[in-house]
Amino acid sequence: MKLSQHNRHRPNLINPANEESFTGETRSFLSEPNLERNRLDGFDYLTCILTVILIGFGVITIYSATYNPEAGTWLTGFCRRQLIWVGIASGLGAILFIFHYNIFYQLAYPLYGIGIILLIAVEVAGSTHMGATRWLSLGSINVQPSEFAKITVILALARYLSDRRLPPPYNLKELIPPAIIIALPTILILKQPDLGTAMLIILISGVIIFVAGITRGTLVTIGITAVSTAIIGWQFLHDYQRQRILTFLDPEKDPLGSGYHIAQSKIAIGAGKLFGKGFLKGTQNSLHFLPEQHTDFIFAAYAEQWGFLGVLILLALYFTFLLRAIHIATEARDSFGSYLATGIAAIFFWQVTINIGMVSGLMPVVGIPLPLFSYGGTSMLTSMILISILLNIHYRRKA
Amino acid sequence: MTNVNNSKKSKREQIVSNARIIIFIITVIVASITLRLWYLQIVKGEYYSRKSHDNRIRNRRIRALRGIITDRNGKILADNSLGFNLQIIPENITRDNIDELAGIIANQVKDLDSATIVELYSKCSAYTRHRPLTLKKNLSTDELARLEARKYELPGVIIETEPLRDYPYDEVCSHIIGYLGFINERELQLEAYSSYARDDLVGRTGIESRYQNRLRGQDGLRQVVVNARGRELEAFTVKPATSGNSLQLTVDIDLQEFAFTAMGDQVGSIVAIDPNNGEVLALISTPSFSNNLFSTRIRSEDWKRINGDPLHPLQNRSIQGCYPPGSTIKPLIAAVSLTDQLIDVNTEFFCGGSLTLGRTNFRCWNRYGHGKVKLSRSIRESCDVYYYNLATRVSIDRIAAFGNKFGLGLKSGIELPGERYGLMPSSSWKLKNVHDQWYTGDTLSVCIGQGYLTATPLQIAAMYSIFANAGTYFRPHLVKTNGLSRSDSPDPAEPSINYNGVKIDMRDKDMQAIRKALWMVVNNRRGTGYKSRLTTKKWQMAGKTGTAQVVKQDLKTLKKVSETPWRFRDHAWFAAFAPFTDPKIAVAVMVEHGGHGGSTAAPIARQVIEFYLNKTDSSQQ
Repeated sequence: MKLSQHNRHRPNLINPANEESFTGETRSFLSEPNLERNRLDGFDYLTCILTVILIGFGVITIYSATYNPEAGTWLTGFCRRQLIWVGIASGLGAILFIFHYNIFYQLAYPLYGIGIILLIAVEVAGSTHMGATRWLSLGSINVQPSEFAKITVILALARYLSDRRLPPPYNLKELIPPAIIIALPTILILKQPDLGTAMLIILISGVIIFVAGITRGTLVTIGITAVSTAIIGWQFLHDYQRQRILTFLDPEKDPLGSGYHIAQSKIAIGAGKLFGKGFLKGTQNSLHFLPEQHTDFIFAAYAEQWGFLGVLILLALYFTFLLRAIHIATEARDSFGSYLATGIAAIFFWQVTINIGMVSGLMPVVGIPLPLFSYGGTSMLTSMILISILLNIHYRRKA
Repeated sequence: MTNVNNSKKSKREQIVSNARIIIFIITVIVASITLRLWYLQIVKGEYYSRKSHDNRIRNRRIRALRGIITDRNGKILADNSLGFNLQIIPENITRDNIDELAGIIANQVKDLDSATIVELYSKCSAYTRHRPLTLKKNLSTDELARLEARKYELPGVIIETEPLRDYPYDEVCSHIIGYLGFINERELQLEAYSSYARDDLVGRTGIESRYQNRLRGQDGLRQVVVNARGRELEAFTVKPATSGNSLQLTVDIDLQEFAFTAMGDQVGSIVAIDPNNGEVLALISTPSFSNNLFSTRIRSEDWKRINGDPLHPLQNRSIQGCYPPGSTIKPLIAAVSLTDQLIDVNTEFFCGGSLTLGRTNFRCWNRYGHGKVKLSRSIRESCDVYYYNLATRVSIDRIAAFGNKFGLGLKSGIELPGERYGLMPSSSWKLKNVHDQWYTGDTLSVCIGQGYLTATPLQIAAMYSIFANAGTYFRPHLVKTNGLSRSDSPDPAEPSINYNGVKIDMRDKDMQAIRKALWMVVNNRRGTGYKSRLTTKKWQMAGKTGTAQVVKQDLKTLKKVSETPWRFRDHAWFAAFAPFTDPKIAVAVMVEHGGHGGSTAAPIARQVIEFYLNKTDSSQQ
């Protein structure tokens, strides 16, 4: 709040074109002379600091999760690689920050198109790993197009909604075009099959459309449709997906099978108690009772070592981050920026919720990492690009 | 333009108001996640903390060795040996060389083909690949040597050792030693077995069973820290295992082995007792079984073979077989008659080949009759009519009371489970069990060792020990009592004789008369056991033959033994002791369907006695 008060007195920021730009009529990237102001008080330090703290916590936890006392190196391989990814991702984020986020408005549909093509390419020529075809080999690099599609759907959706002349709230009929934008990649991802990412795209898009405004009747209809789809969709699920859901509903039934992961993760979290077992003293983690302890289950490794107090701090960090992102959405200079910031907030919100819900036994196990925290280059790259866009929207906000 | 303005305004308004709802939803969800974590970490923290501890600390048992069992001279009858099991650790073998490896193993080890090995290997899940997989238990020394020789070609193959119960004398004394079996689910529920764990071995029969508490060691405890895959990271012994206490038997294994061999493939029993103290020197029951087969989980075909054998090799005939004792009972009838002064040594009865009581004709085995018979001749030539005459004078209850003092109809309390009473009938017994009064005719049968009367070979041997030591009852026992505590062996649940070294209420001259008569059975030319007299003049043996009818035979249909079907042939008995002047051994031999005691059982008894006397004689010199 203090920052925005302060911003109001900044010169040059109020551009008459701004009012127009909210309708999405006049846009050109690099047209805004914000960087020429030579001042950085428009920069959102809060988001930046939160990001650095979360990444720092993440790296420390990755270190403890992959720590091997016999190896003797103070920096484990995973830890070093994560730091390298942080460097690459920050550099990319910094470069993107230079451009006005209008560039994403311009590129929204082409990028969306590329995303769809990549998903089709996976369908045709993807490499299969553990029964799912999610990866595309480009030379020596493996790309996961569903991760890319997640961002392009938000961009396309934000552009479509901001382009729209029709005033919200929208009814069901008016939501058909955005529904197609969402459905196309979702169906392709479901075919891989990657239920987790597909659900995530629907949930994120839902938040954007909700914030854009829909009628109450539409909300009810969508709710009913969602429930009936879930029932019908059950028929089309893969056995392992059904098994995951069933195991989630009754984990005791199969304690050494799929339920084993949830059970062990709950033990790790619970055993942390109030103060935690201490750094590097998590036995659930170090003796490998935790599955994927440096990626999807990293929160359990953190909770075991730092206890409920540590968990409270981490949740407070994420919560502040999310509030800040929503705030940025409401302050954006145009509706595209608002929708985009909302989408970014939604990505972080759902990933954090699903990941922590999963490891604490509130939700079925789906392979979704904890953003900024889990080990993984793709996830880090995506998160940093999104945060860069968020900072961008804030930096070039309206007065 | 107004339209655009309206829309614009409306869009922003929508965003701001809807963002508030989103913030509310986020707050609620973050709060519920916090609540969930509070529940896990604070409310259930202690519970999960314990689970986390149990997760990584595993208690492993260190198996205690069972106490060894030795014979009276310290020769080992039950020992612990090492069983060698062939195992592979799947995670140390790659998929590429499992086929080659399986081929090598299959070549070295019997009953194992490479396809089975590969199948077992590929069935291992990721979580069990570090655990040793047993391919074959109990490798033979030959297989072991072959595998050891090719050890370097076999990475990931290990030989695991496991303590095994080993019985060096196998079937020679399996009825005494018994065997072990795995504890079952029902027993684990019982309080008596509260200190036992699953797949513990417990004694199932014999000494192994009766002295389970003494022989059993105390298992040790080792705690290991394991990782999620169960691999042991570090281990520390919390409590070392203590071996079970050893146990010394009174049995002379050389005699036992000799007697077992002497029995050959005949069905029956031999019991040898030291008449000076009741120590059992040998206890044989044939056919026998190999108790080593039970040292690991017995194979079902072995069990079927042993359990389904019509001759019941698992039965210990020495203590569980109740047979009519035949003429071996006659010295007891004579003893009671003399004690009650119904006769004296010179009382004569006339034997004309039979005695008629009421309308029944009781025959003597010698259809031509023995003529005038006195006590010594009645025993020497085993005249039935003499005892029919005694039967008309002595009451059955008096015989029963006297018989009980000699151990008949009672459990001796020998340290083996499953001992039977035999039957020493009395008038009250008949009334209760047959619902009829006692007739003199019943007494007649009892007096020649037939009718209701039955006895186990152990009881007959114990009875002849009394004749051997001239009047003292020593309780037959199998275990040297020195160094044993009461808790080692709980008292048998059922009543048994609880006195020992008690003098029988009998006049000495009567006892000597009977002993003299028993001497004549073997050493008088007309004695029924004369053919089996000792070959050496050094010692003399006394004894009594017995031929117990299995089915009643008519005079007309009487056939030679060889012509009668096996299962209708008479049981052959011979009970004896030696040396006559200073007895060191009393023996009862019973051959099921062996025909005449004098021709079948007596030679075996003679061999056993001679062997033992020679052995003790040479060891003393």
